[in-house]
Amino acid sequence: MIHEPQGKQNQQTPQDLAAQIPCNIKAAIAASIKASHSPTADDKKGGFHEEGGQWIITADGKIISVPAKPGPANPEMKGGVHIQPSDAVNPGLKDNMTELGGTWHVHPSGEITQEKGNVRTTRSFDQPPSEKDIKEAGSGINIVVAAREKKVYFYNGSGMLGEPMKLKDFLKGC
Amino acid sequence: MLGLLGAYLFLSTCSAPQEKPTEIKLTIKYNDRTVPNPDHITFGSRDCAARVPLVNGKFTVPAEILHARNLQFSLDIVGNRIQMIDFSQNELEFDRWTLYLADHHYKEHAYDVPKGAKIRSSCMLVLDSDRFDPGVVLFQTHCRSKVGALQ
Repeated sequence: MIHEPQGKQNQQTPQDLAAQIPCNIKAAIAASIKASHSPTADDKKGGFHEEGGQWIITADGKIISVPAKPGPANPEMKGGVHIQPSDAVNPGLKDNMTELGGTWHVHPSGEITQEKGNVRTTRSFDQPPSEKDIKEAGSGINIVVAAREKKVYFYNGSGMLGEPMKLKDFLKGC
Repeated sequence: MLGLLGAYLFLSTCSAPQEKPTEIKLTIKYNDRTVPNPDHITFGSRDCAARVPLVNGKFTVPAEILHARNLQFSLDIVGNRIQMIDFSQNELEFDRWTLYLADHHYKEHAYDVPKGAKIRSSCMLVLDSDRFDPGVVLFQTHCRSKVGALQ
């Protein structure tokens, strides 16, 4: 069973939660990281937009990934780049959904450096879940993948769950 | 909120659009420990300057500053003067700021530190909000000096 009530999730470590996520979902998450690094129609360089999605349990008991449309690019880092993980590329995948397993999105790796005299300013996207992420946490497992930090954060509506996992540990065994 | 609004100490003659000011919560961490906030923060631009009080960890950005260009701010903390420049207007829309300072290395957000950066004279400002995702991290060099050295 992937979906757990939030009270139960509070007692689970990131390692417990990661162990509940099947390899086909982890593969979809890994593909999102690669996609976030890659150019899109409005993210010319790559690294300045979010990718993500959800995984669901179908009526016949299968656990499948439902990738979302990429978020808007923000190459100047003005405001956010928030994606809607429920806005599926292929909404038909949810036709036989009985339960939401979880939601993930990638915080991008892009950065901008500017120099003025001897002062150098580097702007980058914050990697942990934002206040907005926590405020909007849904049912099931919630994941932010930190593309630059190469870590995986688990969270719910109350905040982060434990310490972030190394991405390579999250993907280990798949 | 009304107390903060009433506490503005304005030093400029820049224009004052009728717009709701932004209230921001500031946390300062020095060598991984939270330190007390100063009693004020000073915003400046080419045309404007405003000395804004910090009350209960919060300050309100004057509406005038929200529209200023070439924005910078400064504050004095634990014997250091922090002056961050090239701040953009949209960054004032994030209402939770955490300013990290370190003498040797940043424990949190270490991955945001460019290679070879001089830590002791640098500042890291993490901007967060429940309206934007993700937050933004600003790492700036040469933004920190000893207060005594300036006087």
